[in-house]
Amino acid sequence: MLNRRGYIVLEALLSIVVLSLVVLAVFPMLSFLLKRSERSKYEAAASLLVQEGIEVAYNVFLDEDEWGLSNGDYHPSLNASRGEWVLLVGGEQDIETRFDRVVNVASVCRTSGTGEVIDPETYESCGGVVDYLSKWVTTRVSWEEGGETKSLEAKLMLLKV
Amino acid sequence: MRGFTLIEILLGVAISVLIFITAGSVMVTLYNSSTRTKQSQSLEQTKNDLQLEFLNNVRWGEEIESNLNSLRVDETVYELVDGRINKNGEAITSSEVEVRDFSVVDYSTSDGVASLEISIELVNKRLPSVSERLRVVVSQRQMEITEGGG
Repeated sequence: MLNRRGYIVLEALLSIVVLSLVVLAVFPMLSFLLKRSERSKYEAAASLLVQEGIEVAYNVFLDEDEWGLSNGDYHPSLNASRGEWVLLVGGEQDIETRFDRVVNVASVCRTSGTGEVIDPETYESCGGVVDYLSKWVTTRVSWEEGGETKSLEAKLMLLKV
Repeated sequence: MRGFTLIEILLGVAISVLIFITAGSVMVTLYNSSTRTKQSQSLEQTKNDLQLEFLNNVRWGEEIESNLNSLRVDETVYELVDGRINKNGEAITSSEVEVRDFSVVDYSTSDGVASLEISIELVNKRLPSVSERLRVVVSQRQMEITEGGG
């Protein structure tokens, strides 16, 4: 009788250990799923901000006077008195308390012969000609997530016709 | 051989009750969470559908006219009627979703080429705590190519 009771305690301990193992295996999975879901939420919000930057820049550059904006970083804003989009110098921080956004405007460099686009990062010494009828608009949104910096960007070439 | 003592039975009952209460609350939490996820997904789907609808139509529309609570793109009219967004009189949002706000403002820098900020507030009818706000900025593409520039 005494032996049997001891065996039952052993069984109970074993079941606790097995249960703990199961719980330990399930928790990282739950944590991963939560992180994944959070990441999708942030990516969706960031993609809307990227798209907004591109759409505003497209509209701003339709205005002849704005086509002359120099290369550099900008951010979309609203000129409340005129009720129009504008691009203001510099990036913007803490949109929705999380995201940073920058709309970069760069000239387009082409080879003089074929007009093929050369990587704008080599613009300073591109070896070709600067196409004043084209512009690169790149919108980049970045945010901190789990100690890492994530970012999303979109690029659009605008042509003055 | 002896039967169970009263203490053993009481202890067994107490442990069973504790297990039932814990399992019950876990089940209720899981059920609520699953319902909430389902409603959130339905709202998210509506949000994505509306986003695509407005992005595609406004970008490639030829004639765009916006008032504060309605939008006309060529022959298509969008307006808020009884908590749903109608497209030419037909609802394009689910009956489970209430649209509380639909506003359209044109911030274009150029005449004749629209650049709209469309704001839509969506609330789940069954679970009003599940709500989303969609803000889409979309610019009409310049379709007519004119001579000039330089």
